[in-house]
Amino acid sequence: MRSNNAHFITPQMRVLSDDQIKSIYFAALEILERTGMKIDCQETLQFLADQGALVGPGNKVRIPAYLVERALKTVPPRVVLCNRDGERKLFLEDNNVYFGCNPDNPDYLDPYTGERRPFTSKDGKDMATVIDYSKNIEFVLNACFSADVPRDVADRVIIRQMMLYMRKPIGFSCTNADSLLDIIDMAAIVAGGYDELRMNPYIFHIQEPISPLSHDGNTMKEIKICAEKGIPLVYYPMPMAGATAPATLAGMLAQNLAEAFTGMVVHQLTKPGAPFITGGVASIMDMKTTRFSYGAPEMSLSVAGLTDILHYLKIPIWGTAATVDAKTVDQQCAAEIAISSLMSGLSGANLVHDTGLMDQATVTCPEVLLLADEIQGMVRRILGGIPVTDETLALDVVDEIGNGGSYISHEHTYKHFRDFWVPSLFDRSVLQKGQTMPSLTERLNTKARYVIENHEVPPLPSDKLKDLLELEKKWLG
Amino acid sequence: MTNFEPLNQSVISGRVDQVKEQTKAMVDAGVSPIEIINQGLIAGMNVVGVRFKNGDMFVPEVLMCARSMAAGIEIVKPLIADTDMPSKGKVLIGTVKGDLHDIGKNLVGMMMESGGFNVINLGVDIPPEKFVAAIKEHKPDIVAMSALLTTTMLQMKDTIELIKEEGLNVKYIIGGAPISQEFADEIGADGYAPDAASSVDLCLKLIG
Ligand code: B12
Repeated sequence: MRSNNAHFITPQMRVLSDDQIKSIYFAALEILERTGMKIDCQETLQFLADQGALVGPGNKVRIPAYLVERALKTVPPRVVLCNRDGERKLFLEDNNVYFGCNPDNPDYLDPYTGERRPFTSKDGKDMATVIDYSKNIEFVLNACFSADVPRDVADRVIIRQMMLYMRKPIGFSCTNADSLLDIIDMAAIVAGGYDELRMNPYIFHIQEPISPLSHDGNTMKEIKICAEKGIPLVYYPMPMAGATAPATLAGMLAQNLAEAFTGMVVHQLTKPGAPFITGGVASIMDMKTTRFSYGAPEMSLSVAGLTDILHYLKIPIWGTAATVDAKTVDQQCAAEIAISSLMSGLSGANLVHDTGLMDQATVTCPEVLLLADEIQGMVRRILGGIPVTDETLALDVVDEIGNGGSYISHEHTYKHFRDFWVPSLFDRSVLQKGQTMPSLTERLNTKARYVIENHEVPPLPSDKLKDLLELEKKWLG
Repeated sequence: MTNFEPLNQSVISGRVDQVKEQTKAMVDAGVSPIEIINQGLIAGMNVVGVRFKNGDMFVPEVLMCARSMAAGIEIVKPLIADTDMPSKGKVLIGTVKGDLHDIGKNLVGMMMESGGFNVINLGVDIPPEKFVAAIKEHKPDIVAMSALLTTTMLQMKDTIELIKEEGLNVKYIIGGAPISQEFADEIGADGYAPDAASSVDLCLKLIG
């Protein structure tokens, strides 16, 4: 959703002061200069050395502050993402907030059987249909799972399903640099050519450092490809406070930023001005189970902190919300979605991913997307803020209705009541005696099946579909 | 009769300095080094293991206890012949080829160490050949493999097959988020454990 242009209207939250932001920023620069990064790629190390970084034994490189500052000068303050029809839809700038989901996962909670089982490409189609339908889910991030096809082609198969059965921008991680090139070819068909894709990006790629302070060789290759081809890149770590980062959130954020900057430096020095987005899935390790907590309050807080820092640096922000520790669509799930979505909304992260991941990113389902869609609709309404103008102060109307009258039939009400948020799932009905209301879980299931069976997604134009299926033969045989 | 209770308690509360002091004092008083290890240090750690399993302790506490135990062992070690050092067995651990996730594997390694195993950690992205070479070099009782990706799970199978082909005699255990007991059975692993704490029990069961 676009933030209100009159900024003082959109409610905004900060969790860090300007001085705290500067301290964390300088700490990140200190980590880069003092401890440095391990990068398992000789080509990148040589490249950084040529730019003035200090390369030492063990693939370690110490990156001076001026390289970060140089990258910051060229990193674009905004990135625009387009839908399947090439319409410019997501304006990743300022405090604009867009929620997106993970359509695929290792497992799927089947809405027809209630069973938890491996995710298949058919489920990909159903999820895509629900995503196309859900107003507040505005992009997808594919992790590329599909149990019914060979593992090394699952990425391209699931992305094809997204291209065919929904129209929103597509983010993805993939097997390796070769499949990245294949996916760019697929997107170019849909966008109508490589130049068109570069000007109106319909896809974006994600890659991750390995906390603490390490970067894989294949990752570096993919960063370079994205920079050169102008495919927006999201480079973000997943630090776990107390396990792969300091247990204190400030230290974790500094480390997170240093790791993200490493990707930014390589990316921007390779191709100044190439579209770049960063952030972090920064959370804690649950110290009883040792699991990476996706629903922790520390995750919402840390991501809000990163958002403050990246606003200050004017870099488009990769946020995280509506991903839960809950194993199914239950009360815990709803609470975790609500708190994290509102936190992200209020702090103004731009591309907020991971909606609908459950059980620490191992399972998803259509119902959880519909639940999040409802909650994120409430968040969107709150972000609309309270415009204060003559029209909204309505003094003439107040005077006209006067003492003890009613506004319900007034023209002013008729004109403005549509601003009220209208639930599509949450219940406000009046219960008659003896009547019972089906639980939200039941209503979600009914709706999920309805949407899967009835929502119509316009087909991809037949020439593009033909080209896509032709291209696919390269990996499907 | 030496009273080991205070040393046990120091291990249980993870007080490294106190463990060192008490261990030194016992050594000076002529208490048998093996007894210090078994009844003073390991006995304390055993209590920690039980409390952790009951959910009464957190992982960083357990690891601090393990560190205090290790600090004590450091002091008595020079007084004991290597062959007399109590060890429950040698474990070789690594994350399989193509997989860079190592947090879980490292935790399993640490927990095994604190459970009295001698652990050799190979790192991440370890191809079958490297496992084989390391087995020849270190002669472990158990090879432990970790995988977090569905795409790398099958490397476990390849690794086990290669080790068998080479005629090496070890036990195999596997773990990681996508791994299950069924998968372990399917690829002929000797055991699977869902978390670090139970991986220690698993090793004890396999070579105890
Ligand atoms: C942190 C993390 C990362 C970090 C890893 C950093 C590091 N140093 O390890 C980074 C960001 C680098 C990363 C990268 C990727 N990741 Co990742 N990652 C995770 C995450 C969030 C947490 C893993 C973790 O450390 N958990 C904490 C530890 C303590 O738990 P654990 O590893 O499960 O270990 C415990 C048990 O499993 C067991 N155990 C583990 N090993 C062993 C071994 C033995 C012998 C035994 C007995 C027991 C045992 O004991 C451990 C302690 O109790 C998981 C989510 C999840 N639910 O697991 C995803 C996850 C594992 N990643 C995933 C994926 C897909 C990837 C990427 C491909 C890209 C992506 N989409 O993020 C890349 C792949 C890189 C590569 N080639 O390996 C998927 C895997 C799905 C699948 N089944 O295939 C998951 C599930 C998330 C998701 N849905 O996208 N990831």
